[in-house]
Amino acid sequence: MIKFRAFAREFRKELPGYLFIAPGYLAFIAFMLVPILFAIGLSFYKASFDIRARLFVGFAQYIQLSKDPIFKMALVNTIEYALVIVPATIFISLVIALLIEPLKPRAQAFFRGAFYIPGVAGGVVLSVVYLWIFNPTYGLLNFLLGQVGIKPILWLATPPHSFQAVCAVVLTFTIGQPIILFLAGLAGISPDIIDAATVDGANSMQKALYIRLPLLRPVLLFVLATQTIQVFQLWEVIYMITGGGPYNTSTSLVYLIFQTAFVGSNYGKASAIGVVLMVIILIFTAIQLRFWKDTDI
Amino acid sequence: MAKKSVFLFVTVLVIVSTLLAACQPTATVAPTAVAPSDTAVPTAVPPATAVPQITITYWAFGTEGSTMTGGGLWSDWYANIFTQYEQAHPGITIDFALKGYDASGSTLVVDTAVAAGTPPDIYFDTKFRVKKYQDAKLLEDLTPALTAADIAAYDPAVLAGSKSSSMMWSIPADGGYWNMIVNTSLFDKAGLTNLLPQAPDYTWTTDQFMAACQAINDPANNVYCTAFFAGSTSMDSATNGWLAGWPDCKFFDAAAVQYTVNSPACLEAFTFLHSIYEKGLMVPGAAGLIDDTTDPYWLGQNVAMLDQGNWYDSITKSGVAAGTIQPFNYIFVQVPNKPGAPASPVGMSNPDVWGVFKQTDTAKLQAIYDLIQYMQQPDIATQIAVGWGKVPVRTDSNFTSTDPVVASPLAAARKFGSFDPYFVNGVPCGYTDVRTAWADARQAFWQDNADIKAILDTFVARADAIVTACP
Repeated sequence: MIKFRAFAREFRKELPGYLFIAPGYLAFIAFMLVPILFAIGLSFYKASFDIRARLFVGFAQYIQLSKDPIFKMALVNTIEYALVIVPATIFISLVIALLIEPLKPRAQAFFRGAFYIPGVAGGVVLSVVYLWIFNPTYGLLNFLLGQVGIKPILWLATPPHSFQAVCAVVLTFTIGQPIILFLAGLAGISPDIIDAATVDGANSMQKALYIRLPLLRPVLLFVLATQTIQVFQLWEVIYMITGGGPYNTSTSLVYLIFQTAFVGSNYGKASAIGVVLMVIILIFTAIQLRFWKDTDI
Repeated sequence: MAKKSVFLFVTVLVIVSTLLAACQPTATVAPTAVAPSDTAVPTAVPPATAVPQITITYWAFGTEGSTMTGGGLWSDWYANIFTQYEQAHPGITIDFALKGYDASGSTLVVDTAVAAGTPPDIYFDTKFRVKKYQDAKLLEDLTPALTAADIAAYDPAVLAGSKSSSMMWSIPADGGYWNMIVNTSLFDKAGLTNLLPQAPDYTWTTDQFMAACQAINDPANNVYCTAFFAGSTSMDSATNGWLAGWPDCKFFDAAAVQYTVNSPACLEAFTFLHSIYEKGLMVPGAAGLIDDTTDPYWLGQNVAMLDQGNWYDSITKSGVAAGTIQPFNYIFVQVPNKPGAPASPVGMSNPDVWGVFKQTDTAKLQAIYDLIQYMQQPDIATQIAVGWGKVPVRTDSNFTSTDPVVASPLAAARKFGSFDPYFVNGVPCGYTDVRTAWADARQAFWQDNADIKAILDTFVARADAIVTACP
């Protein structure tokens, strides 16, 4: 009883705070938590257009997925996208950030904007541009390759080029945000440390590798986590430029969810794929959080 | 302790999720008050004036601003028809809308409405897109909407496609007859007109086709003989239409309920098609191209010949009318037949059909039957067919046309017969999934050194498994 009174007193004291965060939490519950729980539940049902007429099938859809070659292909592709795009994004954006950082503020601002604009334009707009760039007969890329004597490549029609094409488009708009974050992180490094390294005789490369990079570890881990999640949810570029093809060689789990739910009208199976994806992202995030714990953030 | 907590958390999560999914309202059961019968309901249909204040939601495929072949807006045409109907049937209101589809060729707007429990009462679209709702057992039997005279008037082959074993799940308004389109301006310019099939029949063999194809093909000047596309499921009939030249090749065997596109005859057909690819006679990148990306090749006169000529005719007319392309001349010819085979029949598929979603109100269902009975009459159905550049499928419509895109295949159909590049006697269950599998197979097909037999075998195994898994 005493405990409850203490709790009630504490709650009254904190009430304004709770009221302030309530809209956010209510929105989270309504638009995130409930749909997630509903999708998990739906994955145990066979459900088509009329979800009300669903049939409980237990883990049958998960068992079916384990035998489905297209699901396996999508799963492998998704992991491959993450293994290619995330390191490439981090490497390219870090190099660009290191190149921009010594510039004067006005030049820095220009490059920050220039690299961030593709991210603002979004994957759909860029995909339309890239459809022209990758066109087999009148595309810019094959034209440029032709100028140096390379035969036309069917970028969107042959594996593994379709996979590479998706990676290239995604990289265009994923590097902008990490560049901004890395620049912010670099700006936070005390000039005294850099000066001390200079006095000790470190050259630019050594300063970058042994001073800046270790001190950027928190930003690196943040970028790694957010980029991994973003790439695992890759969808719109695949939808726009390859349609998952040719013969599913560029498909991803989220694209497969779309196809299964909204083309195949199999909402139960699509939910099961979604749950698998959620578990994978949770595992990756947990591993990354483990690294974070050891980081002084 | 930590492991125990995780286990407890996961257990609670699964239970809550399952309960949440299970607690949704269950499906309502449609009444069977209006009994379907094999014999048609005669003129005993009660007058709609007896029906008090009924609103019928009617969605047709299209978008706001969709135009009819020959001019005019579909929205205006429907508004006019429905105004007349409402005046003649007091108490009936028709809530009409044109609903488009997304780039995947799916009817996402309708799907969403169905999932939300608010489908339209009537949906008018091509057979394949309506069929998936029948597979999900969401449609009414439309037998009571036809009289015996109506049934007798329909092309039996087309009407058969609207039936399942137990019911008539749709009623066709029109059928899409088509043959190949050839840019004669390109052949004139190259002095190669003599290589094209000649009037009056415009038939040719695959050897004659190949001779013309190789002569006109000039990639250095950005002119290709033909084009195929396989980047999506869209317009796969443009590929399947070529099978007309191999009479023994059947995509699906209705009697055995099996896909048979890996038969020796089909293998021969696809080997010929792949030779077009191997010889560099087509726009490269077929596996990554969709119809939308192929259209500019035709409109820009970068491709000389294509199947499914009715589509390319419609976009050419639109382009010329809008002043966005240079006018050029074209003719319609038969798909080439293999040497020794009869002249190819005309491609015929994709009838536009009416489907009716399950109803709970018998009075409303009767009003819907009345409306469909009205719409499927020869004069109105013919207007719909002409508007889509298609052909009415009622023999009593006395239909003629001077437009070559309709007149040419129609004349050829009367002489050489018509050919459904997918199915005869109805569409099997699960075709949406099969169509996706077929797109995958076609993408594998348009590759260097493609193992055609293995691709077709893989497709047939996958497609048959889909049919077998049908409820």
